[in-house]
Amino acid sequence: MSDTRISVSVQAEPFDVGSLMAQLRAAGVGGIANFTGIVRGGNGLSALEIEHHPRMTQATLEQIAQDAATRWPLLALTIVHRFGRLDLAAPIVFVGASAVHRAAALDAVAFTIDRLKTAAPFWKREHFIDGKSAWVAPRPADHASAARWG
Amino acid sequence: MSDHRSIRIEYFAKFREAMGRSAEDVALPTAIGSAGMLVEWLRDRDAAGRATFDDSVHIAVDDVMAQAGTSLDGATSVALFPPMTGG
Repeated sequence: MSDTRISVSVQAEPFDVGSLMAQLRAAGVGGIANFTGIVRGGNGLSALEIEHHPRMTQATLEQIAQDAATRWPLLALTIVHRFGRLDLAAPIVFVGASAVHRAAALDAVAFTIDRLKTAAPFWKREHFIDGKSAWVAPRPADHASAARWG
Repeated sequence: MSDHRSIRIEYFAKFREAMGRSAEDVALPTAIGSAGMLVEWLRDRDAAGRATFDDSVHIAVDDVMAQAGTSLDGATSVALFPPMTGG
């Protein structure tokens, strides 16, 4: 077992990147890498809705975090993923890792977000200004990104 | 010995919409012994099942990701969902 400090949260509420970064910083020094996914506008999008499998998401994200902590020497790893209706420019997901050296932190964040996109049971639905809505189709590029980690 | 058993099937995202419900309790013939056989049974059951479940279906048995060959022995729930699009 690694002694990485792992924190996973699946929540409807917004999150504050600053306080999440402060928690990672408190776990130790060296370097912190992070990724924040944001609802992007354009193409007539008015909002994003995220459905999930409530009994599976937390455990799946914890497993992904454990996998990352096994692959790289991390001091801490944080995953936050939201569900429900999200407005344009709202934060969707946060992944942050702290490590003694930058390569571990950077790679762990990339691995975690790549794996999360294809393995954690979340589904996005796009709502448009004209009242229509549609489920987001899986992107082949996301699967290619996830596959590169083996 | 009963030749059927009760199992709960849950549908998510576009599968939930296509089936018109989020879950149902079914009497599953005991001959349907694997997760993949359950999907085939749903496809054979009615037009909605046939139109909904294709090769993209992801399966979880009792909240654990499963394969087509995963046994349903002792299982109480099966979740069916499309490819994930989170992040």
